[in-house]
Amino acid sequence: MNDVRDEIRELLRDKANEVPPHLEMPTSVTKRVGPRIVRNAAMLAVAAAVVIVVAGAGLRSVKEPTEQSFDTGTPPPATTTTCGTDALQATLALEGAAGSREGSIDLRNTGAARCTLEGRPKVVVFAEDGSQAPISTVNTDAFWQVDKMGTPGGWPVVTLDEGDTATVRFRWSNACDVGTSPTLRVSRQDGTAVAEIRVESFDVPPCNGPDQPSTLEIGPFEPSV
Amino acid sequence: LGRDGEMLSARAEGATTASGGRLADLYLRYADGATRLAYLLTGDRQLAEDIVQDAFVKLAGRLAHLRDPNAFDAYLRRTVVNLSRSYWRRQKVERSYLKRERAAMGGEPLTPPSSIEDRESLWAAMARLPDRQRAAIVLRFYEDLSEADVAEILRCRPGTVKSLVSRGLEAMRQEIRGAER
Repeated sequence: MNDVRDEIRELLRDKANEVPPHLEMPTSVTKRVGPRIVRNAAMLAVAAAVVIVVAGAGLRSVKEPTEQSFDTGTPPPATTTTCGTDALQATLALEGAAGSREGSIDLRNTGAARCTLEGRPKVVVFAEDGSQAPISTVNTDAFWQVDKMGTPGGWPVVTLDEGDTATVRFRWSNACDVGTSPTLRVSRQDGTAVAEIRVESFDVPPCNGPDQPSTLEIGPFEPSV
Repeated sequence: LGRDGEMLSARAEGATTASGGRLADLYLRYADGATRLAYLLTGDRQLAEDIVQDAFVKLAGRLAHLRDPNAFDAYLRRTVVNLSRSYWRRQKVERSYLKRERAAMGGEPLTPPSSIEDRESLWAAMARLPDRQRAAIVLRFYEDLSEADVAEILRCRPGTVKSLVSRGLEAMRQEIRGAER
């Protein structure tokens, strides 16, 4: 075979034609779409309510009250908790790329309660022997910013219902002396643990310079697309 | 594509029922192409159907917030690739686990099935490519996307796409030469 490209083009066309046409949208999609749209709209409404309440509070603190005010009964935002290690199941989705591993840290809410994540996580690397590896971190944009997609509803707060997944854009370079099965600890900026991930050997990047720290490029929490 | 913009604008204004109707229009328009792409990326038709349904459900919740609603097909393609990557990731973990289990039990290592027909050996060779090489080849040779467009989807530099395609083609050539011997 002189050039496999033409063969591949033909093969892909033929294989693609094995897929039968879709004559209507499956009812399973319709059933799943409705609640999601309603939920996203509710999240936007809650976010808008929070903005209005905060803005109103700011105005009240600037103005001198002329008469005693009373609570107008604005409902508080829906109660949510911050997502913790007990609710989140973390996985790495990394690919090899020029001496590094890049992709995402995915955090799935396996609990029954709605919870939230916000901001940019801290990630610490522990070598297989339990020692903390030296790292340097770089803040990167979220996937939605890189992809020039619209701002996700509610962002920078990411609200996770049961089964929803948050994503953190992640790239890891230069892992030296961490063994074949190191651990990543993901936490909020205040140090509260979010998840610990045992890294498979194929997700550990090669050692490019033992005298240099590992470099982690970390994006903010964002909803998984 | 202007029609998509109208559809999505209407969706932003409408109720969920109306949105469902618009989504159904988009589904009929794009589901075939998306399913073919998912099938070429995963090699599994049923999985491809599931991935596309998941993709539509995910995008349905964000239609009103898309910065460029005319680019629905690009968002869908990107989502299909991402969901396929999640599948690859699970497969990789499962394969690694099975390999360890078999080694612990003293079993034979898993070997890929041999193929007889050239066409099938090519398809099998593609299935054995690393996921990013496979995605780069499918997006370049099936979707006919530019290196820059593929790079945006795979979140890498255009030069990396060139390298992924080149390495993928070379690996397939070697597989085919091996099968011909």
